[in-house]
Amino acid sequence: MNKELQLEITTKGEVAVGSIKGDLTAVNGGSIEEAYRGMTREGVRKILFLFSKECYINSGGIAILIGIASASRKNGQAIRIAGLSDHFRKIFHMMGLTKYVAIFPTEEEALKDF
Amino acid sequence: MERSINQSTENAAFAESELEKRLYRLKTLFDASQELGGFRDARDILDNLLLNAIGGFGAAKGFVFLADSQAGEVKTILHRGFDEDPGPRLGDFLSAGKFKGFFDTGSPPDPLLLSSFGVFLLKPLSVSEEVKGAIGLGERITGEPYTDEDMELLGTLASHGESRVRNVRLLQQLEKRVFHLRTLYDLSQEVVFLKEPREILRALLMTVMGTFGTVSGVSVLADVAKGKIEVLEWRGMGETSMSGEGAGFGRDYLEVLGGVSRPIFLAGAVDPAGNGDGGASRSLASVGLNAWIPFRVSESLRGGIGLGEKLSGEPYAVDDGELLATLAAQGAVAIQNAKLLERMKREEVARVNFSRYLSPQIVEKIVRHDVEVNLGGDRKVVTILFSDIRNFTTITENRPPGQLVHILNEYFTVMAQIIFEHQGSLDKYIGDAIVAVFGSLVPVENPAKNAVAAAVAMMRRLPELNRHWETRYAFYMNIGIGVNTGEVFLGNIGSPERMEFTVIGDVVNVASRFSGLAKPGQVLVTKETRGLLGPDVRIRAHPPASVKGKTGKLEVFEIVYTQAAM
Repeated sequence: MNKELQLEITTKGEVAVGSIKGDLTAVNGGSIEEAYRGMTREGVRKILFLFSKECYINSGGIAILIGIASASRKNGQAIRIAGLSDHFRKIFHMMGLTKYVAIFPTEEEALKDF
Repeated sequence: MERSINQSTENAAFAESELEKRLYRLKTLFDASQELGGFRDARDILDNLLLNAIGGFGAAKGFVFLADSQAGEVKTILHRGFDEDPGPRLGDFLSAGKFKGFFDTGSPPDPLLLSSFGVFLLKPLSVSEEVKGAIGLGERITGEPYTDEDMELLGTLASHGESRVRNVRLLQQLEKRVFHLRTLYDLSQEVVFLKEPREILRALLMTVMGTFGTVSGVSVLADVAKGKIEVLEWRGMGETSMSGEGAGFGRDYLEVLGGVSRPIFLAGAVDPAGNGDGGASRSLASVGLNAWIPFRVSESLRGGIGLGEKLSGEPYAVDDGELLATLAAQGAVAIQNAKLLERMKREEVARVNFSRYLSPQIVEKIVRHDVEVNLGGDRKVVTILFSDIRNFTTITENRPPGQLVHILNEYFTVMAQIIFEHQGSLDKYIGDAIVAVFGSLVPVENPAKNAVAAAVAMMRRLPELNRHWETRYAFYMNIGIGVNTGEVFLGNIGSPERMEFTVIGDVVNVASRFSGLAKPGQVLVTKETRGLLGPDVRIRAHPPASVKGKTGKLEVFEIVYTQAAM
């Protein structure tokens, strides 16, 4: 739990793709929230968060994603998550996050779903 | 005879067919048990179980479901073929609540009732005390009735499914527990680096919300003795209910939740009258919180974490309470440490600041709050001691600067010590002069008496210093001291970068003038100081004298002292 969080935003058609590497925790997850707010201000309607397989996400990080997913519903945005390891897909499912946001194994599958 | 042979052949064919059917079903059972082992998700297991049952028995349709047996609420349901059925739908069967009695008594529902819903073979499933369900099959495609052996086979198949679902649930619980333990570890690692209670409360709130999968939550820290909210952090809460310090939730916390010492988990309707827990449940429910975990940092510093509903829809369980209490306790320790660090920093600043004016012993007492200090910004009656070296310029000319600095440092150190011993504070050094204040920072009963006693002690100590300097540097000095008492303005004065605790007022100027009037070895005091000295202090009146900045003459009194201690 010591890897720096790296976030790179690219666009694929109408979809803003936030590629995430490193550890997502409550302490360092502010940049993802800030990026989401920025995308919202710019009027982005479709967002994909693409995690690298070696990403580590702790409870604080999950709380950040829940917050973003919750806000996206209010803002009328579509959010997808892809690239998670099996472990975190299971954790997201257990936490009920899958009720708020659809999760896909790969970027391609997620992009197709928009 | 021919008829008998035919009959025998038919019987043999039938027996063979039956045997094949049994073999096929046993093979189905074997295949299902093999396949079920490969699934890691309860839904996949149930789906495979249903497919094997439909295929194995040649049923036209089938369903499987799991329900919360206590609440009678269906949690998972899978079905094949029922949607196309024009007759009573599966939902009607389940919503009729008939399966609830099936769980309670263990006796199968009335076959007529079942068949009216299109169900001809039903086997209960029991994953745990709470999670129960059933697998049901419609008519066979061939129209053949189900036999007792079919029921037995379906039972065996179902028990495979039950056991697999149970294992998967255990594995999930284990994974959840590992995730929770990892959360505890992560939190302990994260909060170590956080120094501000607000940062700690935020990290704690985020961790707890992520651990339990909630959209809304709040964490609060308050000084209940002062009735003041110190930190209030929230996420996903309605802005109106959390509208800042002293309002909304903050007020509720101070009035109700601050006194709660055990976790509260809301389940079902909350008594609007707030009976039972002093209104705590009602307060939580009013802001959409379902759980409350209090923590205690110190006697007066209390806090709590409130959580909204879980995204998963599951209620908070006893296990959750244990984890939440552990997380909250960890947060409380982190806040304790941060507060301790904050106090240590504050004490260090106080130590550094006060040690410029006061004795180390008094500084320690102030830092430990054994002595209350008056950091002022107000007016107060104090006594000023002004000490000056006579003919300083003359006696120091032609002396090497290094030697002079050494002598002055020795002189100031000894004199400051004497001032401190008499509960005085060192206001400043002005060149070779010392300005000391009595009764400002640390309250003393009679500041005039302390100041005069300090002045006499300084005079008595000087000969010893002179002997030392004469031997070492062929140097000696004389001092004169003026003491005055009156009202001054005292406080921290200066720019934010450089603040100094000092006194301002005419009283200081007069003390300085009296010091100027004093001959070597004399301690001169004003009428105001003299009036505060008791009969044990010997006084000699001098003729009134004019001093710069004052109209008219001022009465002058000399303190008579012997060189030996009084």
